[in-house]
Amino acid sequence: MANEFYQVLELSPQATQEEIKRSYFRLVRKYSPEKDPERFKSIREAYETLSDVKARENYDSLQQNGEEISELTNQAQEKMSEGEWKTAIPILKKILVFLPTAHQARNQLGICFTREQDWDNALKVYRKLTRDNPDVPLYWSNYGATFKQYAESLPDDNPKKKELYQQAREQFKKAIDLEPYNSEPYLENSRSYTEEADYTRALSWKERAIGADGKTDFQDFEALFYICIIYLRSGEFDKIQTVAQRIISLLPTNDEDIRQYVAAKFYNSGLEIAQIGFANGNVELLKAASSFFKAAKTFDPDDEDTKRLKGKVDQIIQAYEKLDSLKEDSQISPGFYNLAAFYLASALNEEIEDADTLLNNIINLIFRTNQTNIINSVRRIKSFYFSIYQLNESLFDKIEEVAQERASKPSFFGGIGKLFGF
Amino acid sequence: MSKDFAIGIDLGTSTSEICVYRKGESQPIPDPNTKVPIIPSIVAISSKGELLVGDLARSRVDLPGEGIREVKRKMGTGEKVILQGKEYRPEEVSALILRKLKENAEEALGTTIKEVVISVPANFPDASRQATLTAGELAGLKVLRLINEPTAAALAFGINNIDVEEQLVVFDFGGGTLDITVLEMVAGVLDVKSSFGDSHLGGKDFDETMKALILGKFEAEYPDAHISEKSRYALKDVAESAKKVLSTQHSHTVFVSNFALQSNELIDLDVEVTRQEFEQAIAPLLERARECVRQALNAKKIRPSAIDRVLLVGGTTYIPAVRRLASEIFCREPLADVNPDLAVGIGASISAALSQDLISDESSIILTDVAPFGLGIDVISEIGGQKMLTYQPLILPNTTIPYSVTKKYSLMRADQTEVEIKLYQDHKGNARLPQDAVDTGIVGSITDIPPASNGIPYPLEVEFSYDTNGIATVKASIPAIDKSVEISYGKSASRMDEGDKTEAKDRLQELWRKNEKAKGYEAIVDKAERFMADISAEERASLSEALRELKEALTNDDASKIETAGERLVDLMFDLENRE
Repeated sequence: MANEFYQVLELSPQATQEEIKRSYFRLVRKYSPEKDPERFKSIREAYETLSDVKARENYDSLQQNGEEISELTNQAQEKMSEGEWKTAIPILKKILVFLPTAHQARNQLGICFTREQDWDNALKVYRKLTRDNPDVPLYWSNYGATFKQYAESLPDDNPKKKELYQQAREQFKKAIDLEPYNSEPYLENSRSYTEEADYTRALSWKERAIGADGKTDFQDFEALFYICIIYLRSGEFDKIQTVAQRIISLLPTNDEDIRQYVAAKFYNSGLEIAQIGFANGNVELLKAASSFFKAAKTFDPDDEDTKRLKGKVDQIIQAYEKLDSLKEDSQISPGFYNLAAFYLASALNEEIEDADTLLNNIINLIFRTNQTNIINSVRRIKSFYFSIYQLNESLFDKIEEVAQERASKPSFFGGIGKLFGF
Repeated sequence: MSKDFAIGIDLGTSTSEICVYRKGESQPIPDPNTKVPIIPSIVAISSKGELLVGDLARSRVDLPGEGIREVKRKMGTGEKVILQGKEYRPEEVSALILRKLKENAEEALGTTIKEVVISVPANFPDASRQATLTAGELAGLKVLRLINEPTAAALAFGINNIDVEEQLVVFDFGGGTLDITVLEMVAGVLDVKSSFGDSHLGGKDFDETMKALILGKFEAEYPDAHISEKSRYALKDVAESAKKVLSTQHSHTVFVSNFALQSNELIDLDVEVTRQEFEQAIAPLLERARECVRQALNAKKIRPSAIDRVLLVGGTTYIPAVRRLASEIFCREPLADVNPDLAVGIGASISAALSQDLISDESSIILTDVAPFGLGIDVISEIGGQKMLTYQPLILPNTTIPYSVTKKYSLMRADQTEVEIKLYQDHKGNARLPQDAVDTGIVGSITDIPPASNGIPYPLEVEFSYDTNGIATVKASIPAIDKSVEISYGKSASRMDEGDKTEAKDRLQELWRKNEKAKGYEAIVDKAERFMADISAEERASLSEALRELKEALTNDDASKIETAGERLVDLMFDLENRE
């Protein structure tokens, strides 16, 4: 029924506020809460809406344009779900002309502007939305997210960036005040500090996110995992393992799916980091990757891929760490250090200029010494520098074999490097 | 002949009144002993077994294990009180006070009383309201309705000022609670706009502060004195009267002889307290009162200057600092429009008169009221990607009642077999999580839910209603499978069920044995009760009437009545024994 509230109060839609009040009191006298509770309830409902100027405007508008508004709302919904943000904007604006208090539509308008990277308009929408609804945490969060995305869209050297991140965090803090148990805005603050390489603050916000709902449980996994990423960025790889231990303690027992999910998450991140490490020849990154693999292994100890990859990465790290002592080792004959360095470099994907010639020269250098020294050096590498030996087991074996053959048949000479077709 | 009077009862934390409305006028009924229309809300049982209610209990109430004060603060908590080693529910103790009031009125009016309206603090939770209804029932009363105390006070004012159009505040500061209520009166309708209270702030807290002040002064002088338990009890009384004296005087000397023991020497309590010292000590209490006013006004965004009139109700408003606070907040002197002690009781009797149609339509007042608390249930919601238990309001504080609403939710999973509905109470209207609200202990569940065949969790409907007595009912139902559960305080575990009530009634009945004079009647009463089964209905009626009279007389320790009722019983028994 159109204008039902006016009918209940026996008024025309043009009634003044005074008339509304008079009518309410007159009708309550007639249909008191005691005598006619049902009638009273509807009189009261009508009065509550019509006596509040804003609520009345809203009601009037819905009465007049209700159908069109719901039609427009559907249209906007459809466009947004298709990602047609630009087309949705004028539709949402139209809704807001009819119904300025349609907060949901305004929020959607803000989302569209953000998607279109129309930062000024998006910020304007959220400024109004948060002013009109200061107690809705979602609007503060979206306001913050707009600032943050704006900041992220700017190049690193833009001086505005810092200010925008700061603004973002202020809005998120408002959301946190209202909804301290929602971890999302804490995470947002942490992310923005991470972007600014302020890892101490990033970590402290992360910790607050974890404690946000008053308990630490598996729900906090994403936040904890993000802490690992922060440690990765800040170079504190050893701490990744500590966090992994914390995650383990929160894992629900007997839930294989969750364990595998967590393991996969660590494995994939480890793989990604390892690839970057290999590509840049960065042993530090490999160490980080290793700690991710190690974590993955703790959650899913039987996964073959994890085992293999972790083995490989660890081996390279160990080889790298052994390289210096190998260099200083007087019992190792010349050339072996060069050989180890060569294979480590190629394991780390480092471009080596004129690799063939270089390797030939190294082999020749090795075989300049007497055969017993060569054999002893290989044996020593096998027992004391196993990870270096593992860089290319067959080559080391072949060198030993050749040296032994030579010891018995000293006449044999020739380009040994080519035997292995490296 | 239809009844020409109506009864209202103000069952207060520290004092109670009963008022009668008759011939267009409401009057408080004085206690026959003290001739004062106010009785202290205290009950005691002496070591001799006498039941003492009201003024008669004064000398014994503070003796350990013999008496009980402020039982109203325990109403609805399920907490028991102990009198002479026996446990009583707060409802039973309240029933004794109600019975005393009932008897006072019956004596004054010369007729029996059944229908009454009882007032309760606006911020009384559901459980306490139900407990009050039970107390009425135990006292043999039919409670027409409960009325919020400030609303009753406003009614006492409104009935004589039906043409007034203004916004008023009732500043109801009683013995146990503070209620601030904002009303608008137009066309003979008293429309409550908002109400906010502190259910643990009242005259008793001022007494405690005074006690601490006196004790502090004494101990400063005699740090090593030993104060006996009995002296500490005595201090309660002197603190209360010191508080009252300081409402009119600026300083007061508190004296209790032989108050404490120091180095084997008896020392008197003899300290002077000034109004200024007292006002300093109660400043934090006044701050809490100010906060209540702020909340009540903020709830409907009303500026203090929009208030045309302030009604002061309750004994605590006699304290000058409290009056000053009220006039300071509203920038106007509170007027003596109503009697602070009697307004609530008078209002309750007017309410009773209204509901029994004793007041003509033209001169009657219509009342609306609000829910003092928000109520809601816990529902799992997704917050920041996590599933969390959240508080979902069904009614916000200060919503006009009666009120009803239906909300739609859904079960979590299609294979869910059970769902629990739990009712929470939200004082300020800003709870977002169950832990921000108070668990009312009212809970119910729908069980044996069959799996949803289409794989979509069943929709769940929650129907909520709040009636004019301030009692809430929640019905949760799954229409698809035609299953539902209804929860309300009336069905909760902490309430007295019919069995409890019968037991309590019996226990109250048995109180006659506590009277020392009962010894002489016990044997014949027991014999008469054994006799009951074997006699005709007619004989049984007169015998049981005689028994009831005697027990009542013994319970009330009414010497002359005991004698006449006792004689009558002996006569009856003699006739029965010696019939042909």
